[in-house]
Amino acid sequence: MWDYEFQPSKKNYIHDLNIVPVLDMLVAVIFFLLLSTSFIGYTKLQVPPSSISAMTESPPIPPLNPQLMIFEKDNQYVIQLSWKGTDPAAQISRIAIADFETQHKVMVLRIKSMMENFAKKFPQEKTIQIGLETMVPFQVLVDAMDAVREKTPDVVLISYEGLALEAL
Amino acid sequence: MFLRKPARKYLISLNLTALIDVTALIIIFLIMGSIFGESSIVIPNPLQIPKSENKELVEAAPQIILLQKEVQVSFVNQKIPLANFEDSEKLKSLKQMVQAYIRDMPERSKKSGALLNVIADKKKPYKELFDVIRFFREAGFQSILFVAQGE
Repeated sequence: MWDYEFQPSKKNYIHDLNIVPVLDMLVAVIFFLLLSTSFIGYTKLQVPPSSISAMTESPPIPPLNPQLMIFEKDNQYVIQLSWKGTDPAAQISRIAIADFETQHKVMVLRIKSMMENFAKKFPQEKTIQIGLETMVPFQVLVDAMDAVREKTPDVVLISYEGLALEAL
Repeated sequence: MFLRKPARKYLISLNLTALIDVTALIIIFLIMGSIFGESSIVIPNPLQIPKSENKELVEAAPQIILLQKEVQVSFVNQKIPLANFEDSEKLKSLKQMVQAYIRDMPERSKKSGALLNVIADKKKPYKELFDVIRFFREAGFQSILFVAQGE
């Protein structure tokens, strides 16, 4: 009690926040984020789930079954978009095989233009089958899927085995 | 001259406010620019995955990596030679393991079907890719997601 009463008044100090450890921590966090971050955005291309639908009666109009097939022939990629239905037809386009960077954009643009023509004729069709010849690289498949997705979002991959039979 | 007051000595202090502001901005930028959900996707060094115009982000799902001569099935800790996928009879034990894995997957993960991320080099021939996909489809994966690098 006495001590308290006669204790000299304490000087009022302004207590500064010690930010040195905060800065240390922030620098460590920045280095951690810089080292651990991947700035590449990975995307996905989905092959939708498979399903079986049974039909009791044969359809009055034969189905379109559009197929996009890509073959490798004479140092070129031959792109064939064919369909059946009442008026079966096919579009064919050729692209010279080049390095992936150059070819990637050309391939997407070419298939997109083919798909636009197809969509004008058959705007209701939302499914397409894609098949590639055995040695055609994965990048070409991704290009094809990129190009068809806008008009026909449902993609079905078809085997290279069946494809060889329908080759040009 | 002698009566002049001596100049007061000020302690020079660094103004850290601006520094802290900038640091905070950098941290926010890094956090927003990071893709933490994709930390499970690890692309092995020699692999160059294809480029895609697609903007959909990858989903958390079990993954397989098609290497030069083998397929790395990480969710069952197996490495299978690529040649074995030509004949699914050689892969009966793997098929059983994959089926058991899918069966044990939580229902929440199977809500939109059992998904499988496929990582392969952009030069991988379609034949090898298709053989592998066909096996995993038959084993029970309903949706195949090709992982590509966004442009």
